[in-house]
Amino acid sequence: MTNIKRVSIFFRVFFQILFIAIPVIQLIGWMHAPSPIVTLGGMINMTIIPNEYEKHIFHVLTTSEKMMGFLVSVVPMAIELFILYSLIKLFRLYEQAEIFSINNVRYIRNIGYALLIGQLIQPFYQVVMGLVLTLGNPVGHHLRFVAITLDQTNIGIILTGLLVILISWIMAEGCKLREEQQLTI
Amino acid sequence: MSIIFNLDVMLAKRKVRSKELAEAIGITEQNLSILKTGKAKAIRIATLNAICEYLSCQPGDILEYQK
Repeated sequence: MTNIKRVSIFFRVFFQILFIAIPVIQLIGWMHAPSPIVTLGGMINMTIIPNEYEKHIFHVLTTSEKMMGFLVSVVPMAIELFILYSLIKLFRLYEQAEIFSINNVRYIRNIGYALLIGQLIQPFYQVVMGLVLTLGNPVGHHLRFVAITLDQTNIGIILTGLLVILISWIMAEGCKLREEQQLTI
Repeated sequence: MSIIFNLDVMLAKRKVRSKELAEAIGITEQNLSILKTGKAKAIRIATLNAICEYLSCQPGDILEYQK
């Protein structure tokens, strides 16, 4: 149990740092878009705008376009943050030695559904993001870029989401068994 | 329709305190309280046996089916 507690503290703190860092990085990234954020002498090189969009932008992004881009990216970011929030709550329960409880099941199930919803909204996000970034292209480059992609990562995340939901059902059964065991005198 | 635990009645009849019974049959007072309040989902034969033995009674004296 002490091992679970110790590792849970580590993960909880890690997820809390990510929970704060992700929105900050997104905001800074969009302020500098389309240039990548380069820190630590080039060791960290992050691009906020995905490559498939970047090659279709033929103009300097205005502040309002960057703002719009950031606002659009808030949607998938909100899902990421919700997953992180659920993970923080889940690992806090593990820290408190609460492993088979209905709260754990709820958080695990939420993570599964959030992963699925994140992938369901992905095509809409891609369409809107493509339009926001390419609507201001100059005459002659009036390419309204719309991309809907489904790659191995998406399929992987969908499968992971389904697996996580399945695990939450198994955990729910585990909770029932534990409750029955606790209430057997 | 449920099974009612009349353990309180039997304890009063035998003038035995909950703590004493819990200690005698080797369960915690908290678990005995779960039994008395009817929150228990199941009772082990060994526990029922120990209660009946200590209180000198039959299972029917402490368990009752009510419609």
